[in-house]
Parts: sequence; structure tokens; C-alpha cells
Amino acid sequence: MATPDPGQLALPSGNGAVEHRPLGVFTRPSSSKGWRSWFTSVDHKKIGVMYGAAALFFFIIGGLEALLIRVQLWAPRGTLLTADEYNQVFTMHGTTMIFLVVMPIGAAFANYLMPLQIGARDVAFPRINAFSFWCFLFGGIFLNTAWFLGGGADGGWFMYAPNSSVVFSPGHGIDFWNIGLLITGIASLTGAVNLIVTVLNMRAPGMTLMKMPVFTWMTLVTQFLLLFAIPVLTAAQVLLLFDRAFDANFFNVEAGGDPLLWQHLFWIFGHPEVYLMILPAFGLVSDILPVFSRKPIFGYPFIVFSGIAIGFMGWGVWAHHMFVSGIGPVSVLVFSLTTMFIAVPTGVKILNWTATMARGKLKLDTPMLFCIGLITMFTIGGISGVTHSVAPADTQQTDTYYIVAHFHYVLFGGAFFGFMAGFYFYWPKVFGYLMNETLGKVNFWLMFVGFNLTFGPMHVLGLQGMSRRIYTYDAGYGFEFWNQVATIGAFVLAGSIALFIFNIFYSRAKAKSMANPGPDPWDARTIEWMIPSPVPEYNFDPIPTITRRDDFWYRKYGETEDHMPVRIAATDEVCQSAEGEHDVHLPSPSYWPIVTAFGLPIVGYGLLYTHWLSLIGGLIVVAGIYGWALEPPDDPEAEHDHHDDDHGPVGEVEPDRAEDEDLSESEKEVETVG
Amino acid sequence: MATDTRHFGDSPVDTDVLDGAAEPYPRNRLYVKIAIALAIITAAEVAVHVFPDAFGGAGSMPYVISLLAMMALKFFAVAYWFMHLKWDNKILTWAFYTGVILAVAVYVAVLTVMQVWGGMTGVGVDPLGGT
Amino acid sequence: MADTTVHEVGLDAAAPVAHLDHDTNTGISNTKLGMWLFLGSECLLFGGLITTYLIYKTPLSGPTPEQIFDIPFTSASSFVLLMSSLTMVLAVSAIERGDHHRLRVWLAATAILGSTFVAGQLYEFTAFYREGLGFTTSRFSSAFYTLTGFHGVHVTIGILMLVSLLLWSLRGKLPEHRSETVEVVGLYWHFVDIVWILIFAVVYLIP
Repeated sequence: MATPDPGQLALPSGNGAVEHRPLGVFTRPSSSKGWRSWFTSVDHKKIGVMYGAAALFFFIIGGLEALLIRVQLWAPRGTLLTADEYNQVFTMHGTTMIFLVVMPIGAAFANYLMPLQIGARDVAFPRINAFSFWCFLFGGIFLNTAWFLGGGADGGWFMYAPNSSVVFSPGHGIDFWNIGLLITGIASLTGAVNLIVTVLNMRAPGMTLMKMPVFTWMTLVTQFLLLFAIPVLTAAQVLLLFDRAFDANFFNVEAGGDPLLWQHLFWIFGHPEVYLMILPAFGLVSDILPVFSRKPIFGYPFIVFSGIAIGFMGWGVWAHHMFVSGIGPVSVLVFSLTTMFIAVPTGVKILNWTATMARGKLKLDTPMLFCIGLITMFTIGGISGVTHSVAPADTQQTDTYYIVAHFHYVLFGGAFFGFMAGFYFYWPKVFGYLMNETLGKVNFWLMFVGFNLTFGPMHVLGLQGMSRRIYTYDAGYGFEFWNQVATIGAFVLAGSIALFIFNIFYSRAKAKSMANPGPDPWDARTIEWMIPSPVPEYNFDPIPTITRRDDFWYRKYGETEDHMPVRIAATDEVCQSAEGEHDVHLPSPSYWPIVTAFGLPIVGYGLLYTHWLSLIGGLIVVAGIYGWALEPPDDPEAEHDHHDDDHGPVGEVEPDRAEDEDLSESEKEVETVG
Repeated sequence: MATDTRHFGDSPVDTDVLDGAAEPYPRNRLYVKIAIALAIITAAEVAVHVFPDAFGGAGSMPYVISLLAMMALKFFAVAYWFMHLKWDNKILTWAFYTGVILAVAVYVAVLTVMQVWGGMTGVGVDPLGGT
Repeated sequence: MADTTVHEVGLDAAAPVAHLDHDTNTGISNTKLGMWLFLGSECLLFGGLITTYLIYKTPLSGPTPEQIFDIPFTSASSFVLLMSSLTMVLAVSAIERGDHHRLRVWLAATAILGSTFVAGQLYEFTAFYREGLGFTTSRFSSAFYTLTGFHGVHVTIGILMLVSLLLWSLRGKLPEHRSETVEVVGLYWHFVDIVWILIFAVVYLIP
């Protein structure tokens, strides 16, 4: 019996036989409300929100670093930063934005939305999910503590060898970078395993792969990319760690170490990384556009398969980052060709989105504006990207601002505009109130203008020959004007982010006097919109059976003979209600994920300062893992009856979340016991 | 087949009862045969190493290919039988071999780019002495 | 660390299935699927380290692989690890048919064979060190110790998982309907063996 009967596996702690107090240290956390519950929660929705909040926090840090760069470059011979400080700021800006902002926002949406889109109660491994988040957060904090302990990393986010060796960077900055990213790498890897298993194993009845929403598909592709790309980076980082900490010879040129090895390993990771940053945004846009065009996505299979194609082809183009590294003419030729090819599936997506909007009834609400922003801006970034595949041109562009312009059009104009669309679109689903639409539109236009003012001029600067990563420039090269435009643009962009944050709190205050937007404020298509806003803890009750793509839409609308939608049911009739009893059994919260994750940065500090500390951190990790292993996934004590069935009451779920948050301490206790 | 479900109890399950349930298990013979085959292949690998001249000398094409072939054979045998890929859902085969094939593809490409297509370091090439 | 590392890498011996109102879509348990995905990912990690070794296997100074490797010794320890795969698979089949006594015997045998291998590796490292091959001696030594050391750590984690399983079983906490826990640990163990099959041929036998 290779595959055991799941019925038998159910609730191995069953029969209420034994009370588990692993190691006798902690009693099991049981409350799912109150601020403390966030630390022990295994709820994918809370974890998703925490990913998003942490990413926005790091986004502000990374944004401030960007502003420092732009102020420094306002005029020739700027004096705000020294050369050394400038190196640290641009390195940390890149690292923060990539690893601590764009990737985690993708993870935030994946965690929150994907289980809802496939009709699951939670992810496959809820505790590992919590562990992933805490690893990410602690890794990110560890990385940034470098600022207070001697300065940040200064080798660029790609950390080329041998510039990253102790000889050229004697401080601890690069060690913080290295160990911090190893820790976030654990987060990404465990998260990838978790989310892939969730998509493959936990779909609602009838939800075949080709009926899944596009965002879920792109999450699947993204997580596969992470699964296979992260270990390559880990291998490279281990070599760097051993070089720096234990005097190994991997990148020691004197002993025959080859700096190109680092470049290869880094970009084998680095190029799939580029796609795994953009694909979640592509997924969001593919789900949002049809809602505001009131048409199904054009060419769903093409969207899906082009996403998969991007995932595969993304592995064969890495050396286009190395055209000037001396990899030889044959390699340059091969990687030029593969780079040209990979533009094709990306172009397919642009075509599909455009065709989705064509002849649709467009509603230009804020999420839609950001989607259109993504399509236009990403197209510019994509086209400037194809120019890199032409090796002779790329040789001229390498290490100039042209490259900076290109990847900001892809990552900010692409990924981040998509995320903004996602924020505005899903805000009511997650928090139970709509963002203010007027402020939202102003937000979009400010961001759109600021973005183009900042990064558009960099194309010109790059072609004029201005080098990136140099802390200043001399007068007389004609760089002044466009640098000033870019700096002004950066502040406009910062203003748009401030407006977004203001909108969050403003709308929240306003929402107190307004009615709940209901499950389906946008007249949307996918099943996450058929459950109450904000989403109840148990997600779906009952779990819906899926009959076709955009299942929720077709519960509301039928089709006339000429394929025009006609309403067949009121939204309220097809949506689920939060009222009444919901006897849904959910995984219990746990201390162990956060404890285990907490040990990792301690090991890191130990490696840098005193090895004794590593031992302590290691013991915390081991103790955490053992506590975890011995703890049954469900607490026999809490939240459900000691009957033989595994479906005890979770406690009554309040229909209005706003009330829940205001529950007093004593009420919480009562709820727990109840 | 015994179906004792007393678990997580304070007192250990009395396994003597279960031991009686043991019945002949046909796969075990297969496992032992595979293990013997693996041992023989390993012996052959060592033999190739000990008598390289029979295979064109250490480092020659036939030598390297025969060792790689035996290595691959052992690899697939363990994955196919010991790791149950033969009997399990094909999705598992697919998931694992995606990783294997991807790893082989990208790393062979790296080795090719670095050592065949004009990288400056190569096996047996001294990057400093060469300049 | 035991079952422990299993958790770390993405499986939870009994967690997820308990919450499903229906069977999994693929018919494979979450735990097993998660382990296989993790193993697929590990291929890229070891691939990177093996590639590094292949690029650096000729040292500019210090002992060369040909001078230092003791093939008969390594062949013996490779054989030991290979046979531990057999005992592991026998342990899995023992618990699948409810034979807890044999399960414990085979688990213990696997752990002992694994420990023998690790002990052999420690002996080998010590011997190499005495012959002048320190970790920092040359690019070859760094690459060699990192690759084989990483593998050794994997074996050690595997041994800890096996010992934990054994203790669980002795305390009666490993009934046969949880045989999949043993099977999943077994997958990890076989994978570690597979990696050594690669290392033995590519590092030790092919010059």
C-alpha cells in the first residue's frame, strides 16, 4: 500500500488519547484572533497579508535608497554620498527591491489568492507556510541590520567575484547580503514546494488544470521556477560563504578560481528570477482585464502555454547577461538566438491582453488603469530588452543607464504596475472595504507620469554613454538635464506611493460609515469573489464544484445566441453567506515555525561574529524542528470536541470582521474555550 | 494485513501481535536482486578503473563513456525500483526528472561554455600559466 | 533532527491529509509529492557543486586527485552506502505489511550502514588532511571538500531521521497506516545514495 487511505491518515492524533506538550515548553496557541495570533497563525490569508505588509515596509526602505541615489545624481559632482556609500546604497536598493519587495509581493498574492482561486481551505503544509514567511522576514531584517553593523553590501545585487572577496570588500556587508539571502532562499524553496503541492493536489472538485484562473497557473509556473532556480543561487552563495568565512579558493584567482563560474551560477538563477518576478503580475492582469472588459480572456490556452514556455525558455538565456564577460563568440551567438526566441511567448501575452480588451465594454476603474499601464510600459521594457539580444548593440549598452531603464520598465512598469492593479482590485476582498476611486485614479496618473519621468530619460542617458553604478559624473557630457528630469520623476513617484498609503488609511476611515462592499464589488469572474469580503477563516463552506472556466461568472450570467452575456441569477443568490454555523475544521496555530525560523539569523550572526552564537542558533533550529515534528498538526485540546470525528466546531464565525478585531481579551478567551 | 490503529498512545503498541501478520512479500526478492545487480555494476566500475587499458586508457572516450553509462544505470535503477517510481503515479517521475534533466542541461551548458567555447579556464589548463 | 528535516524541506508526515474533505487531486499524498519536488530541486544544488568540482579538479598546487584518492577504500564505503539503500527499501516494505519487528531491524541496519559511510568519510578527510590536502590548499581541495562534505551532511541528516523513526517505532508511534513517513524518509535516503553514485563515478573514477 504505497498510497495509504487518507481516511486512515486523518487526524493521527485522534481519539484524544494523549495530550501533547512537546518539550514541555509551550502550550499550544489556540486563538485565531488578536494581535498575538499573527505570530502563530498558519492561515494562508494572514500569512499572505503579512507578506504584503512586510514587502511594503521593505519597499519604503528600498525607495528611500532610490531617492538617495537620485539626489546624489541631481548635479555633477554630487556630494550627498561618498563613492563607498553610493556603492552600498545601490547594492541594497537592488537587493531589497528584488528579494524583499517584488518576490514577496508575488508570494503575498500567491498565498492569499491561489488557495481561494482553486477552492481550497488552506495550503498543503500550513505550518511550513508560516515558516516560509518568518524565514523571509528574518532574512530581510538580517540583511538590513548590516546598515547598523558597519555598512551594507557594496558589490551590486549580482555580487560579482572576485570583487566580492574579502580582499576587495573587507567589511561584513557582503556577508550580511550572502547569509540574509540564503535565509530568504530557504523561505522561497519551502514556499515553492508548498504552493506547487497545493495547486496540484488541493483543487476543488471539477477544477481541472485547464479550468484554473490564469493567476493560479502563473503561480504554478513561478513556483516551479523558484523550486529549480533557488538551489543554483544557494550553491553559488555557499561557495561565496566558504570563500569569505573559511578561506576557500572558489573565486581566489591566485589559486585558479574562475570569476566566470560565479557569473554563470548567478545568472542561471538570475534569469529565471526575472521571469518569476514578472509572471505573478502577468497572472493578476490576466484575471483583472477580463473583469473590466466584460469578456473572457482571449486565448486562455495561449496565455497558459506561453507562460509555461517562458518558464522553460527562461533557463536557456542566462549568458546574455555576460556578453562582455569573454565567454567566446559561439556562446554569444547561441545565447543571442535563445534571447530573441524568448520574446515570442511574451509577445503572445501582450497580444492576448490587447485582444481581450478589443471590442470589450471597458470600465476604466483604477485596477484597469494599472493593467493598461502594465501592458504599455512592459511593452516598452520588453522591446528595449530584445535590443540586448543583439550582441554588438548590447556590448555598447552594457553597464550603461540604458540597462537600468530597461529593467525598471520591466520590473516597475511591468511587475509593480501589475501588483498595484492587484492591490486595488483585491483590497475589498482582503480587508472588506473599497479603496477610494478618485484617489486611486490620481494615484495611477501620478505613478505613471513619475515612472516615465524617472526611467524614460535613462534610455537617453544610457545611449549617451552614462555608466551605471558610478557615484557621480562630470559636467560637460550633457548628462545634467536628463538626470534632473529623472530625479524630479523619482520624487513624483515617491509622492504616488505616499498617496497610495494615504489612500489605504483614508479609505479605511471612510469605510467605517459605509456598508460592506459585498462579496463581488467588481462583478468579477473567478470563484474567490463568491465568498464574503473579507474572506472568512474557513474560505469556502461548502466547497464549490467547478464546471467551467470563470465558474463564478457563469453562475451569474448565461449567453444569448450571439454570445452576449445575460444575467441568469442575482449575485447574492450565488454567493456564499457568512451567516450561520460553519463547522469547518482548520489546522491549529503553532509556535514552532517562528521559533525555527528565528534560529536561522542567529546562526548567521554567529558565523560573522562568534561561532558560539551559531551553536545557540543551531540548537534553536533543532529544538524548533523537533518540537514541530512531535506536535500533531491538529491540537486535540483546542477548538474542537473530543469526539471521534475530526470536524469539531471552530467557534462561531462572526459575519462582520470589523467586530472581530474589536473583541476584548476576555471575549477571546471565551471563544477559545468554546 | 494488520490494521492496528492504536497509536500516539502512552503505551507502545504491542507489536508482537503485528509480527505474526507478516506474510511473504514478493517485492523483497526483487529488491534483493536489484541490489545484487547494483553491487555487480559497482564492481564493474571499479574494475574499469583498475584495468583502464582494457578501455582505451584512463580518461579516454570509451573509458569515460562506460563509467558514465554504468553510473546512469545505477541511478535509474535506484530511482525506478527502490524509490518506487515504477509503481507510483507518473507525476512523481515527471517532477523529479524535470529537475534532473534541467540540472544536466544547464550544467552541461555551463561546462561547454566555460571549457569548450572559449572560457579561459579549462580542465588541465592553467589560467595564469596560459597568459 | 530526525523527522525534523523532513519538515524543514516541505513535508509534514500527517498534517495536510487530515484536513481534506476529499482525496487529493492527483491521488498522491501531499507529503510524498512535496518530497519528490524537493528532491528535484536538490538535483540543481548538487549539480552546481559537481560542476564546480569539475571545473576546479586540477589544482595549481598541492596534491592532485590521482595522488590522493584511495579508490579501494572509497569503493568499499560506496558499496556500504549502496547496500543501505537495500536495507532502507526492506524497512519500507516491512512496515507496509505491518511487520514492526523487521521494520526496526532494517531501520537500524540502514542507520548503521549510513554511519559507517560517514565514519569512512571522516577517516578519508583526516587521511587527506595528513597528506597535505587542507580545505584551503587549492581550488581542487575546496571544491572536493565542499561537494563531499555537503553530501556527508545530507547523509548525517538522513541518519538522524532514521534514528528518530526507530525511536518513534519503539514507542509505538509508527503504526503501519503511517508507513508513508518511512517511505518518504526512504526517498530522501535513496536520493542521497543516488548522489553518491554520481560522485563516486564523476569525482573518484573518471580522471
